[in-house]
Amino acid sequence: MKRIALLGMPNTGKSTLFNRLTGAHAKVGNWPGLTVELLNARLILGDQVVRLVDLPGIYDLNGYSDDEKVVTTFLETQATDLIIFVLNTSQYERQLNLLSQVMAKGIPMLLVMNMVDEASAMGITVDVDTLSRKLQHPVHLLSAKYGQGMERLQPAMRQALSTDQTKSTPPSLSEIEKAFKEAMRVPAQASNALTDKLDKVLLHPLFGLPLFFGVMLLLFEGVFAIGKPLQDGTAWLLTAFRTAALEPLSAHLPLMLQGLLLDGVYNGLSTVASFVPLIVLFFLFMGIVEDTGYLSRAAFLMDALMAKFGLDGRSFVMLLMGFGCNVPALMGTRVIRSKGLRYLTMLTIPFSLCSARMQVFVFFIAALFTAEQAPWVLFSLYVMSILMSIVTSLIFKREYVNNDAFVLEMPPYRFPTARQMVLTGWQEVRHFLNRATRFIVIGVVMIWILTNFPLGVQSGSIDSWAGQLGNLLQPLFSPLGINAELTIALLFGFIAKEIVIGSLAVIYGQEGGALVQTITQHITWIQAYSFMLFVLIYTPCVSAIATIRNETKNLKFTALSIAWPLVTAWLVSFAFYQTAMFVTH
Amino acid sequence: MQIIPICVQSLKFLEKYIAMHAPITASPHQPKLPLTLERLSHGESGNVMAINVEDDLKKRFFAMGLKEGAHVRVLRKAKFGGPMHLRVGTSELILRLKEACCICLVTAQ
Repeated sequence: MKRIALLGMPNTGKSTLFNRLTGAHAKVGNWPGLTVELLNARLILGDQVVRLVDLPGIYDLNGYSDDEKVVTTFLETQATDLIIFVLNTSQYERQLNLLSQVMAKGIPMLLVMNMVDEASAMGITVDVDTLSRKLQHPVHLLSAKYGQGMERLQPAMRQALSTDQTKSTPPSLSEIEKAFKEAMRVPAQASNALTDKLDKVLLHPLFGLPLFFGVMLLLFEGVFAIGKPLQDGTAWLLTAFRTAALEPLSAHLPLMLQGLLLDGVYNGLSTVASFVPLIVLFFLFMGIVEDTGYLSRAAFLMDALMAKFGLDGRSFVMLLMGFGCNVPALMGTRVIRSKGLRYLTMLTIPFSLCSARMQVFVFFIAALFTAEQAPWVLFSLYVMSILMSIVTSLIFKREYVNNDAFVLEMPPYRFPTARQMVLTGWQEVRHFLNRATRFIVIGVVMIWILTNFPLGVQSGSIDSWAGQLGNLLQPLFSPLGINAELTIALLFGFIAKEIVIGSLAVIYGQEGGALVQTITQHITWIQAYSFMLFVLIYTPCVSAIATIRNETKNLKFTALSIAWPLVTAWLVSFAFYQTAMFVTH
Repeated sequence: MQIIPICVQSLKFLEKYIAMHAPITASPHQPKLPLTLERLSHGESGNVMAINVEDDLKKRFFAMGLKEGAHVRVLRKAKFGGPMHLRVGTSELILRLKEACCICLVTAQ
């Protein structure tokens, strides 16, 4: 099978092009270097099947970063039949050095001038024939985002694969620069007028930062306002499905099996599933913010402050990314070259309130706080999350010193298309289903077993295995106001935070509204907040730990990233619960 | 063998020191003194004359369009000694003042 590689700098729209070509759902990020894994897919190209590989975006083929090494190794070791070099048309000048390095490899190449929509808006024109003739390589104009020129790309790829491109000597950098100068027409004052205008407001010296936090608060409020009714609706539908269809259908099954299927698997899974609309919404909103390029602005606004904590603007963006899911954020730290800064950032990311933890909070907040209090309680947890990251970096900044330069490109504002948004939403549903099959089903089944054995005990009672385990740990957790049932949920939350609510459904043997009512009767708001603080801070899920271990290959650091949050969680919850009890009594 | 690079370094330092203590708008009769990027303020621009950083960082600057001869304009500077927002050609980038100190300019007239 022939192999085609997509190569180019970060922010040239490689991932968007990859999505367009394959229909696969590589994440599109307006953040330099987000595509960190080697995405690949099979592609039918006329009468043949080829493999398309999306290489990480790099700045230099001879650089020393991890991504640059990945690409160099790939080109040296993997036979590549065609390189599609993706160029951001309006900023072609600074990409020519990389282009000349790639051309020097002598591999057949198709030059794709991407983002022609932006370039033509700036009045930039390209003479494709001249450029192609001078470079002696095929050149193709494209807007991967809006699909302009897509229909002619596949024939161009086919032709590039079949024609013999072996040249005697690849052109030098100055020859390439000359060819581009001849073929390109750039107006003297080429700039993105809309971006200039927006930046004047969004990067305003006084209002920039408050505006940014305002946008974020609005985003969380929006997720809550739209998502909560959707969640209630989904929960109602799932309960109705149980009473109308599942209960009659499983009536003839042995009682034990019925219990496992309905009270174990179905209750657990449906409680978690009811959160899907909320999560999809959250990722959709975050995705929009990310795709527009606002996150790079956030890096600019926050850098001076982050420098005081030994971090930089990129760390801040990774922390924000962590609000979606910690795992991609941990992998995203690969763009940071300084080992000290990278480790420090990795130590702080797990405190980012990820969407899985948000499920737990939304559930408890809805159960124990009024609708007016709800957004503020959630916001206080976000503040706490950021505070924990700051405290952590302040404590460890002498241990992990940052010696990396802070240089970041600032992409123009880009507006996501409906297509991109649908892709993001769908990707999240798929991600959830994936995790559901891997962790949640196994988790809830295990909890059901723990709460229903030894045989003959009342489900979830003090005599069950779970009850005994919970009691055993009570001396440790009762000072935090966390009861035996919640302790069990915490234990399983170690695997994945998505399990926490599902496991409570199994432990209490109830779901939906009934579960909320039970919780309201059993615990106070102080206990609930203490529990939420613990869930927020304690050790991230197994996937996050595995990622830290993979990325650092350092057992000592991995151990620290488990132990530090665990200890802090206990201390913070203890401090909160004891103070709150002292004040209210 | 070590002496020559040290001399060059100290010369550069001296230049930088003089530049730092000289007024930005030098009178037209005097030869222009090396000016470093971090001293430019909002709206000012210049042409890059020399970049005194290690090779790896230089490559990264290069890939952002920051190279000898490039025209740089300061779009804005962040508060509290934060980074600078620059335009180089048609690209934009942000850079900390610490790194901007390493970039010598001649002001464009």
